[in-house]
Amino acid sequence: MNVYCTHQFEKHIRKLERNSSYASILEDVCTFLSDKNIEELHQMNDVLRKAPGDYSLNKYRIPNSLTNKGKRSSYRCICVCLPKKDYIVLDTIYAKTGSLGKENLEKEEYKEISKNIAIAIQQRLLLKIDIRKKKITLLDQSETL
Amino acid sequence: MSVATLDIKINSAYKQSENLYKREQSWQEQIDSLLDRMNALNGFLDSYRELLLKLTFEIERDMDGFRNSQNAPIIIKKLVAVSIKALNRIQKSDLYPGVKTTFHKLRQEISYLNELVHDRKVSIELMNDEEMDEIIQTTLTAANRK
Repeated sequence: MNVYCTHQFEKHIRKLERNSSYASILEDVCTFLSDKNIEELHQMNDVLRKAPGDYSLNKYRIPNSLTNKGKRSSYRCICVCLPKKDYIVLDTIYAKTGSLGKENLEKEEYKEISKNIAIAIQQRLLLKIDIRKKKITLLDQSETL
Repeated sequence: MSVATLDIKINSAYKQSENLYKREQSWQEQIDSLLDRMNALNGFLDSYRELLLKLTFEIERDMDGFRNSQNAPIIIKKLVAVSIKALNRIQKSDLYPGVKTTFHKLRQEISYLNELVHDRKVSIELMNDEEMDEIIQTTLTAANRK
């Protein structure tokens, strides 16, 4: 399974990791994704699964390893799962609690995220997340999605 | 226990606590009574949180069922409203410093329950959104392009 993200996702990560309470955010995302396959992710906490097996919009609750609060007050990560293509695209991540904590997203915000992901796939404006190395890297233009 | 019964119980517990506080007592008696009430409230908050944990576990286990249910979100909304009312009262009371930790854990659970209800609403709205169909189609076409 490949994990991609949009430039917006990278911005969110960089902004949050500047705060000491969220410093290990990228590591937490990679740890969360490392032991899961695309099918699991496709069916897990789906906000919208209108085309089962093809497309789902998901919201994952990723625990913050720096706080001891469990997944209830952890990060919320919004992504699109494309099981037939064997990849996911992450677009938004926010903390639920703490100084940068955010409220629940509304319908229009979810639509914006979906649109953003559609454009990013269309224009190949994606970044790749190396789960093992826990790093975000630029997508090689010759690489097919 | 119904939501209405819970509401009445919270009100009477609050009045009782007020009366106990106003009654003339020695300093030692007041401290003892305060500690007793704190312990009792702590126990109540903890068992209430356990109940909510079981509820969220059941919801998470069958998200599709929750999405299709008509009554579950109404009941949970009422439960959340009563719980928030109770938490606001507790926060203003003299017992708050002694129950802070349990209080915050319970508040976290209530906010999570609220989030589940909110997500259900958004999910239904997105399911019935035509523009969302177009977005999905655009995504799938772009993803299938060589």
